[in-house]
Amino acid sequence: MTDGDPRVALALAALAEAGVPGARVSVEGHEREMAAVRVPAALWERMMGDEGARIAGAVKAAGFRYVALDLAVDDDEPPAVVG
Amino acid sequence: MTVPESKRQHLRSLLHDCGSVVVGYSGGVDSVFLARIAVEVLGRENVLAVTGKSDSIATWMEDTAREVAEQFGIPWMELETREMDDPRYAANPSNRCYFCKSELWGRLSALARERGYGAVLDGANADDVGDHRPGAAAATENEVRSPLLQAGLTKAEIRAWSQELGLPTWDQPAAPCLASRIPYGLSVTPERLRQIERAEIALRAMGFRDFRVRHHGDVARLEVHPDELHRVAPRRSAILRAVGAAGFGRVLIDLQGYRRGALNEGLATPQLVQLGAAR
Repeated sequence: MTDGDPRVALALAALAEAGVPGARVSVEGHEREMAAVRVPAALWERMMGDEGARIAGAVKAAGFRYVALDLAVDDDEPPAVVG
Repeated sequence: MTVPESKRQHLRSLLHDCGSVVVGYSGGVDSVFLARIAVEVLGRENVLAVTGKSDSIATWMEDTAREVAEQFGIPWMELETREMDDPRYAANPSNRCYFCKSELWGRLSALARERGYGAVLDGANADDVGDHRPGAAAATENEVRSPLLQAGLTKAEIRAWSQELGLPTWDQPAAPCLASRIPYGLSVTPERLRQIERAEIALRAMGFRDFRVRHHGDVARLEVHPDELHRVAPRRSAILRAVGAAGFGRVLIDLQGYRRGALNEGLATPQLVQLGAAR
């Protein structure tokens, strides 16, 4: 459950402050230790590398152990899951 | 990088004193190097390199172990280990490695006794001191010796010496078992290990070298070495498809990249078992 997790709002604020508008954040992991960030396609490449690492540091401060970027963007088909 | 002659001599002396050895041989940089030097010092007839075979060992590591042993004349065998049958291991506590290594070193020690070898060796080195290493306690309990550590050899020195010897593993990235990709507290199952291996094989086929696929249930969190992160964006869709096909509903990439021991980041200090403290 992500709804109502106060860390999400803090993470979104950190992303907006870093110049990443339109992001979505959900909470993942069996200990709810991970912020899963989804960004518009146009911003995706910018997140790879030093700038992404800096942004991750800001989002971690909201109380996450890991900050990870969704490889899917809004235009993608969902991955085909094979059992 | 040059390896001090004093360390070389110290290692040779330690091995000589063992007489004959069983080497825990994963196919990684350290154990391949150790087995190769042991053969040089003691002769083939006094060395047996043994690879533990289980679901938690990547197939490509087994292949490397076998191929290098054949190429360099290292007597070698595989031994099936059954750590997956131990519920304490499968529950994946922060000291999971202890249960795995208890099984491995227990089996290797018994083999050494049966066949009359003088010692069982592992590939721990000087850089491992201070890491979270709960398996080190199992090594101590089974009187496993660590000559690379005793000789003070660092990872960089082992790589340099391996390159001198022509070992193909000299620049191989560290490759711990597949269970190390599953966060503590999330159970280790053969199915999860297969998912991890399948995803990692796909990424390796795309040319990535130093990375981990961390298993978070329905989510795969990829850690790619910072030097290779720039290669992710052009392959985003292909990675998404390949890792998704391994059975993950969501594929994420860690923004901080691969770092050693990332799954230990959530452990409190009392949960950390360090090699220096264990020996």
